[in-house]
Amino acid sequence: MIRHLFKLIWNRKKSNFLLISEIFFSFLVLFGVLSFALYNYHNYRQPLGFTHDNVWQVWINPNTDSTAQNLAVQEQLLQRVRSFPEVAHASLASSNTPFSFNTMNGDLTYEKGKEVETHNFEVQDEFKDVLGLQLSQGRWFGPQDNSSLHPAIVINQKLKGDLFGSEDPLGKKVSANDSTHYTVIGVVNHFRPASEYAAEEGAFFGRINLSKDNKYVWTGLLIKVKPGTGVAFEEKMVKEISAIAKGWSIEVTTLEKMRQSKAKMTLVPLVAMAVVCGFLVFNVALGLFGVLWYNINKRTSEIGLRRAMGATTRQIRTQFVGEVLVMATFGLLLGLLLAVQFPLLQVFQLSPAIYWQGIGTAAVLIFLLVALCALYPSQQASRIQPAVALHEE
Amino acid sequence: MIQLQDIEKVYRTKTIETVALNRVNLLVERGEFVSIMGPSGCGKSTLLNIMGLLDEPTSGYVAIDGKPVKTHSDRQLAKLRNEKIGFVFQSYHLIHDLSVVDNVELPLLYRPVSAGERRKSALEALEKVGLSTRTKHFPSQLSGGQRQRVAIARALAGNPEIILADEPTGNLDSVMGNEIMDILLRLNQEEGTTIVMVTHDEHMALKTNRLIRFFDGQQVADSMVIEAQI
Amino acid sequence: MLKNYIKIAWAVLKRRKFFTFISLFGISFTLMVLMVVTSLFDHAFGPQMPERQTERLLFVNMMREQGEQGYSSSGPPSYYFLDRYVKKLQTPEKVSINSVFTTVNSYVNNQKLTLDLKHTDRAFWEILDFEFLEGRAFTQQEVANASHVAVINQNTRQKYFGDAPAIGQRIEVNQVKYTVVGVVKDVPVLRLNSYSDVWVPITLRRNEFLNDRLRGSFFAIIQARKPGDLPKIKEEYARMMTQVEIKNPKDVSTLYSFPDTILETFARTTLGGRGENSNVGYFYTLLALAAFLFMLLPTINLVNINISRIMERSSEIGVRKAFGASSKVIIGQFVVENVFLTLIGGLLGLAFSLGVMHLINNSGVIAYADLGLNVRVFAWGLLLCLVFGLISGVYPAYKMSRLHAVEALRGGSK
Repeated sequence: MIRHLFKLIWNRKKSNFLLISEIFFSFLVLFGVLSFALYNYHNYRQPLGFTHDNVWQVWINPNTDSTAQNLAVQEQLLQRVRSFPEVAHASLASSNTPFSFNTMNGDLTYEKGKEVETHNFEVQDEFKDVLGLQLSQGRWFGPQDNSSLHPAIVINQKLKGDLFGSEDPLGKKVSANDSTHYTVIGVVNHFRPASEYAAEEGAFFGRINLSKDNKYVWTGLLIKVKPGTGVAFEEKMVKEISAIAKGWSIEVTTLEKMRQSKAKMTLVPLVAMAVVCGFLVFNVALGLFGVLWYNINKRTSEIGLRRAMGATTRQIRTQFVGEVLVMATFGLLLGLLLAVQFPLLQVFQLSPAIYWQGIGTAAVLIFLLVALCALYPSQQASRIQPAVALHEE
Repeated sequence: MIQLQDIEKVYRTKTIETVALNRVNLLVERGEFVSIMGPSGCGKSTLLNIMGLLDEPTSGYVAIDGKPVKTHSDRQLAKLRNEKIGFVFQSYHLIHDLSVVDNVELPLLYRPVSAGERRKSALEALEKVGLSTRTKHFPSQLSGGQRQRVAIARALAGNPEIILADEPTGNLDSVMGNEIMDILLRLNQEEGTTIVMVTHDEHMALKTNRLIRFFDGQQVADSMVIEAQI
Repeated sequence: MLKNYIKIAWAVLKRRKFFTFISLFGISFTLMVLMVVTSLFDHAFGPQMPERQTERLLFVNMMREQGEQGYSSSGPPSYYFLDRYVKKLQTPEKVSINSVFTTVNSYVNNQKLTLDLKHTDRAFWEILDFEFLEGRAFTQQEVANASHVAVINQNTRQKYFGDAPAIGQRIEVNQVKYTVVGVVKDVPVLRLNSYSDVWVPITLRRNEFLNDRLRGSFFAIIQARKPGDLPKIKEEYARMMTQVEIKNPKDVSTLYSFPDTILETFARTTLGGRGENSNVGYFYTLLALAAFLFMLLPTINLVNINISRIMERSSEIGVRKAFGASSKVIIGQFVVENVFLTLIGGLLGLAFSLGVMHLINNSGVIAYADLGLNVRVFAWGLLLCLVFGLISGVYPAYKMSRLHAVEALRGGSK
């Protein structure tokens, strides 16, 4: 029977061409959107590696350039912030704090291995407590790093894999360029600060040491406040630090808010895509339904004949649903030819598993959809009275 | 073989009631070649549809091989049609998108038969109608007479005990018509297939064993044809 | 004749309600999406309050320093660079220097307000066309004196003062007090160069003017005397760039900075590359491709339905042919019918898109979005409608017109 259906569709390929191409394009659209959605979902399921509740982001920007004076102001400001009873921990950091829109990249090499692209985060010792980082190996920064020969760094699991493979990274020397070398002192489980929907990338932390050759004003101040601290304290804190840092622009926000706006960057396009894709697919489904209905009405005499030849109503129904499924298979096969290029050629560096899931889900959805569209018209077809159908003409 | 008793068929629409068949009694015996004649609209085709289990009478009794079919389910009816009955139509009803041999295989598709066996039976049937050379053609590439031969081969492929033919020569000229008639006669005589044929053509009808005349839904004559030629 | 066709079309639409529904649904939603996108595009790149005379405006948003050893760093230019080089250009009519907006907090009645603050000069108000709800822009004098005056937007006035007039009132932004001199209508956030909540004189950041680095946190807006001057300005700008003194030649060997239209700015930054090319052509190609791909499915769908719809009427076509209608006339009839249908769909689409724009404006997805239909968007919509109607009508009509009269009378081929 299946062979019979393939034959029918194949011989009718010319008149079914448009329907098949519709299914082909629908499949590609679904595949694209689903792969994108699955990619984001997959990332979302991974641990972030830090906690952001009750963490506030204070952006401090001197707006002026006289470094020496600014550094002094910054130290005062930090001391004042730490002295508030509401503040549990506070750490200066480079501007690429979690969920911010800033990035800092660089390359690291281990021995003569290849260069690995990483994100670097400059942080103070208290950073670990502010964000609740968990170490899986080695230790976090401490005063003993003041005197180390090469600056100490802590890397994340991803970078450990990229740089060292299965080797033990502790105590190893890595280089950023010819003159800068670091010693790895610890590994954190995960650190995925860009967005909940972004994949984890290699990252390392460098240590900010204010007492030693500090050259910059660190603009990203992160503080962990005690639970229940609210706007009243925020106002008080901003007033007081503005008095210390006159003329600086100071902005306070929470990591939760930053997380939301970062999530919006992914979710808004995703929702827009999903809506458009949903509309396209629904549109195609309606069209398919209409055309199938029409085609089946046109084939009443064939239906009558098949009934006369001994087909049961059920066989007629199965045949028409089957035909549509076979047609969908043709469209899917064409689409598959294109879609498999993505995992095979590793387009966009997504993991092949996501593409395969996308292909699978899209195919299942297409089959479900066409079966659904075919069900009612096929039901109609099976109800046709053979005696009437055979004499129509 | 087929027994019809007190068959009535009434078509109702909102406004009118048309009586297509009025108390028809008919018994077709195994091995007979029966022709049914009558003017257009006299109910011949309705009768054939009822005999072929494609239609149900409004009232009356239909039995195949002595078994009443009234209580049969859709599946049982389909099985009977599939195994016992073959159909031949005036307008052939071939499926355009299937090749000749695929068309002939059609009734076997609804039986648990392997693809190889299907093909074998279909080719045999085509052989019987003299179309072994055209198996891969499509219906649109054939003449009317050839198309009707394909339709007969299709009816034969399932090896039915009875063939119901609804004006099989109606769309054909006399040469082709005669060819078709010869095939049917041969089938009846050599293989003992029971045939019921509706026709307009007196000439064709007189070639059969038994002729039934219809007028306005009623059987008006039932006679044995003594001489094949008049 | 046309009237006759439309009468038939109407009758056909009413007879096959389900097909009509499918067609209208497809058409109206496709056009709705296209129209919303067009409106968004217009909102972001077209002439809009306050950048109304876009054909005379160029924007300087970026400066990239490139070194021979792979060092590369880019960001907004500094006041020093803009003041010393860009302001000195001869071709432009006016040049405004203004800061990149910064987000600051203010606290009003135990409530926190997050506001964007921008520092501007006087020329900013002359070049751009803000819609003042009350008051005025700050004057040359106020800029020269570095007065603590501010122009605020409607939303900020609402937050500080409810809907009461704000002129002469004091507001505190980032712990500094300003006197409100003007209130303007909200500027959409997509207008990077003019958007803000609060505008104050640029001279309040006077201490940064001395810093002679090339990169900083300022933008420039260049106004040409007439639209045709834009290429000349770009040329002069490019010449000027070769004269810029590089203070740290060890690290930096080349500088890149371009005066761009809004679209060029966007294309240059988003489509990557090193920024030497504005990529506008590439950007348009991408857009056209996306629109084409998006329209492809609904079009195929519509063609498919139209074929069914037309084939169903094969006997009508047979009769027409039998009475002497040529293929051309028949194609014409179906195309007219289909364009009629798409126009109905277009009207529905228009109504839907108004609804969706309203939703987007109210949802806050884009701050201060003010999407709307204007003549340009509407004209695009109409054009899209016609193209859609033609494409989806011609093929089925052509296919049908080739049927022979006899076949058509018999009910069409298989």
